[in-house]
Amino acid sequence: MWVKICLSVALTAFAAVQPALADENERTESAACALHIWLSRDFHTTYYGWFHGGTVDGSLKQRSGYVPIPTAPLTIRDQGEALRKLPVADLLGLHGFVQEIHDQPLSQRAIRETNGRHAQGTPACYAELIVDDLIVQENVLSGKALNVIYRFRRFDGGDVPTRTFGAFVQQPLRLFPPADPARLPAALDELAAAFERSVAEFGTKLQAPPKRRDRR
Amino acid sequence: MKRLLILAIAPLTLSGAQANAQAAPEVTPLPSASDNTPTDGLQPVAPADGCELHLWPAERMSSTTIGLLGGGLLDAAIHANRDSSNQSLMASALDSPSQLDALQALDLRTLLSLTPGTLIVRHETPLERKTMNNVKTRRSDSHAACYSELIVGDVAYQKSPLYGRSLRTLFMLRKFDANQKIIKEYKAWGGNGLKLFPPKEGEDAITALDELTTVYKRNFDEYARNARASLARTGSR
Repeated sequence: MWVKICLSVALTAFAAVQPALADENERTESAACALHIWLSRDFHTTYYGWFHGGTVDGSLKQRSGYVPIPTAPLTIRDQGEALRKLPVADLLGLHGFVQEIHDQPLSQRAIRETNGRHAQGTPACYAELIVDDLIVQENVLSGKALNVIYRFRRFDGGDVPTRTFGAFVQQPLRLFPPADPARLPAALDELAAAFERSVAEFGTKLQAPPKRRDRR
Repeated sequence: MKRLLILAIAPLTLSGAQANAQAAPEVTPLPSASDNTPTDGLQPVAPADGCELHLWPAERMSSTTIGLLGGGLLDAAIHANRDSSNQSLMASALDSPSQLDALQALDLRTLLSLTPGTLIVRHETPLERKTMNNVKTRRSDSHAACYSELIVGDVAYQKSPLYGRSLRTLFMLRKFDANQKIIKEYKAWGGNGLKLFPPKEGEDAITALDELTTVYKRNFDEYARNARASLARTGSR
């Protein structure tokens, strides 16, 4: 009799916690997925004018004829602050992924030549977003824009990515680089906002069905 | 009864421990060895003979799209945004380290008819483009008696309805005597067609960006072929 009572109590308790167990498994599975983000240490400027242009980083080098800009207008810290405010994983369609932002950037060589994961000891369900390059471009005929090159890779278990996608997205700029130094704070805010928007746009492009040209 | 309860609860406890273990993975960033400049190709392939080749990348990049209007202001205005983004993509894919890596990956000693004992020296900062022709002295502090310079002047993308898409690169090789005098110089463009570049905004761009490096190398190969022939002619005079 006692055995029957004990058994029924145990089974009832087990049955009662089953939904909780299922929830826990679900949560664990999603918590096990990780999105690692690396920021860019590269920042370039390009310019096309009426009578001159073409020198890469002419503004950063303070060359004559190029609007001078601060040496590091969008630092790794600025990028990190911008992305920490955003649900980057959700913007990329990776719902439930835990995002981790690395403060130490990858080198261009590592970005382009590494085939496997950039971080070891990561879970099987894993993805990477790399801010490859940041370029402020100005064309006297078409205006100014922030051009951000992103690279995305997703791994499902192994060390070979199951999906890779790299694209550039442009966000128009009105204030940056400022001709008047007094407007620098507003211009830097605009640049950071453009960077934030670029992540969302990249996420949209990432989730869009591949175009015919990309299906190779 | 206790045993039964423990048996019933055990799976829960176990799954909780597993969850904790999975939720906090130990992330080990890869060593930054890949950050270091590759040394392959810099050191002489034979005993050093005191000869040096110094490399400088290009700092000027341009994109010109000629439409059916045949060029001009209106054509430039129509393609301004495209040319601007092309220039940015070139600045990224062919930044100074990437240009030097591309050159270093080639057999420069053979391609430029240099001795196997030549030491190759990278200069990560490009020279100011407008000084490329004006300055006739050595651009480094080296006092090597056997000394050469390879300077990349321009990288130019062009699209025209007649010839299609191409990437051209301007190279200049100078050989100096033991003093500051240039004894041989050859400056010319190398150019080859592009199949993938430029990508459109939002499209997968990786292969198109990689193509720039491949064609940059091909351009140098073409330039070096002409340089060898030209320098051999001037040398035999």
